[in-house]
Amino acid sequence: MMVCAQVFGDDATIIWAGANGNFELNVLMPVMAHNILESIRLLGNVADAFTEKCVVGIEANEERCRELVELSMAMVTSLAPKIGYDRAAEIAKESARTGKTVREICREKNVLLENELEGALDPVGMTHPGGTGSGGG
Amino acid sequence: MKSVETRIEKDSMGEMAVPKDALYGASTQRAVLNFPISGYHFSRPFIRALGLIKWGAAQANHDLGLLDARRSALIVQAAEEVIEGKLDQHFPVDIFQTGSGTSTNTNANEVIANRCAQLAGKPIGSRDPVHPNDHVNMGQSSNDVIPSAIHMSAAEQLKDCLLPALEKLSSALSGKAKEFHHIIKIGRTHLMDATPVRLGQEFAGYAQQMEYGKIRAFASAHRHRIFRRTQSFRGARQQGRGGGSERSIKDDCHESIQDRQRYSLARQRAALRYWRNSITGDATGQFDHARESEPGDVRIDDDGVRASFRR
Repeated sequence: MMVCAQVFGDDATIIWAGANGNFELNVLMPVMAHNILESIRLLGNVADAFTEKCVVGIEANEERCRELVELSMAMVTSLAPKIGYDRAAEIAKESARTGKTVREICREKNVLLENELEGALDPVGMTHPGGTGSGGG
Repeated sequence: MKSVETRIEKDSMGEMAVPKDALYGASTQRAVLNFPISGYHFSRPFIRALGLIKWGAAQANHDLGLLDARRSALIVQAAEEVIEGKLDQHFPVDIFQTGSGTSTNTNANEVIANRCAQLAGKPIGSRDPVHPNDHVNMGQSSNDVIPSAIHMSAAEQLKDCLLPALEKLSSALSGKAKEFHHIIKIGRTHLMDATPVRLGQEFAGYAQQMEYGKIRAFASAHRHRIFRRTQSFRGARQQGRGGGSERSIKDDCHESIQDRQRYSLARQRAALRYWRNSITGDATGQFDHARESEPGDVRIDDDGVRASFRR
C-alpha cells in the first residue's frame, strides 16, 4: 500500500514534469527519469515480495466461510422468488431479532418442503450468473 | 567533512578542482557543486542506457567514417564498462540538475573520455586521445541522449523487472482461484452481507486485475520504444545545427543498440546501413518515415518489439 502511495506521487510528478517546458523543449526530464524508474522498480519488487511472502501461502478457513454463509440473512434473497419479497423480508427481520438462522426459521414455519428448502438455500446455486437468487436485492 | 585529494581539470569555462580518483572532469564537478539538492543519483538502468548510447554512437560514427578506428575502439571499451556498472561511482550528479539532463550527458562524456585516456596510457584530464565533446559526444545532443536513455531504461525495466513480477503474481492468484473454487463464502456489499460467492471467484478477480496491469505495462513499454525512435529526430532538428543529416543517422544508431541486445553484429550493421541509406542526400536532416526500405534490409519495427517481449 505504501508503494502504491509512492507511485501515485511519482505519477503526479511525471504528469506535471511532462506538462512543463519552454516552447518545444521539456526541461524537467531528469526528475521524470528518476520517478518512472523508481515506480517500475518499487512495483516490481513489491509484487515479487507480495507473491512470495503472502499469496502463495494463503489458506482458506473453509469452516468459517461456510458458517458465515449459513448465519447470513442474505440467504433469504434466494427465497424471495419462491415465497415473495415481503415474506422473505419478514424472515430476515425475525432472524435479526432472534438470532436464529434463515434455515431454522423456515423449518419452524414450514415455509417450504424440506427438499425445496435445500434447493432454495443452496449457496452454490447463487454463485453463478442466472443462479438462484439472481434478481433479488 | 574530511578533505579529499584533488587534481585540477579544465573545461571551456576555466579550471576546477576535481577529486583525484574521479574519472569525471571539470564540467561534471561544476554540476556537483551547483546542485546539492537531494543526494539522488541516476540509477543503474539509466547509466546502462547512457553507456549503450555512447557505445552505439561510437560504432555508428566509425561506420560513417567520421571517427577513426582507434578512438572508436577505445570509446566502445570504456562504454562497455559503463554499461556493465563498473564506473557507476563516477556518476555523482544530482537528479535535480539542468532540466535537459545535460549535466549527466556531460558526466558520461567526461568519464568515458578519461577512461579512454587511462586505457591509452595517457593522463586523466588530458583529453588525449579522446575528447569528451568532439569524440564521445560526436553527433549528439543531450536532447537526443537523455530522452533516449529515459525511454530505453524504462522499457528495459518494464520488460525485465515489472512484467515478470506481474506475471508471477497473476499466476499465483490464478492458482489460488483454482484451489479455492469449491469454497463458498458470503459476498459483501458496502461491508454488509450480500449473496454468496466462491472464494475462488474473488481470487480470479484479483488475478484478472494483474492481467490488466500486465497489459498496461506492456503497452507502456511499447510506447517507450516508439517515442525513443521518433524523439531522437526531434532533438536533432531542434538544435538547428548544420550537418543535420549525419546527426539524424547517428540518432538512429540507437536502433543498433536494440540490435545489440537482440541480434547479431551483422544485422546491427545492416540496420545502420538501412537508416543511412534511407536519408541519403537529405541535407536538412528531415527523416521520411514513409520511405520504402531496401529489399533485404533489416526492419526494426514494432513487431520486433513485440517479438522481443514474447521471447
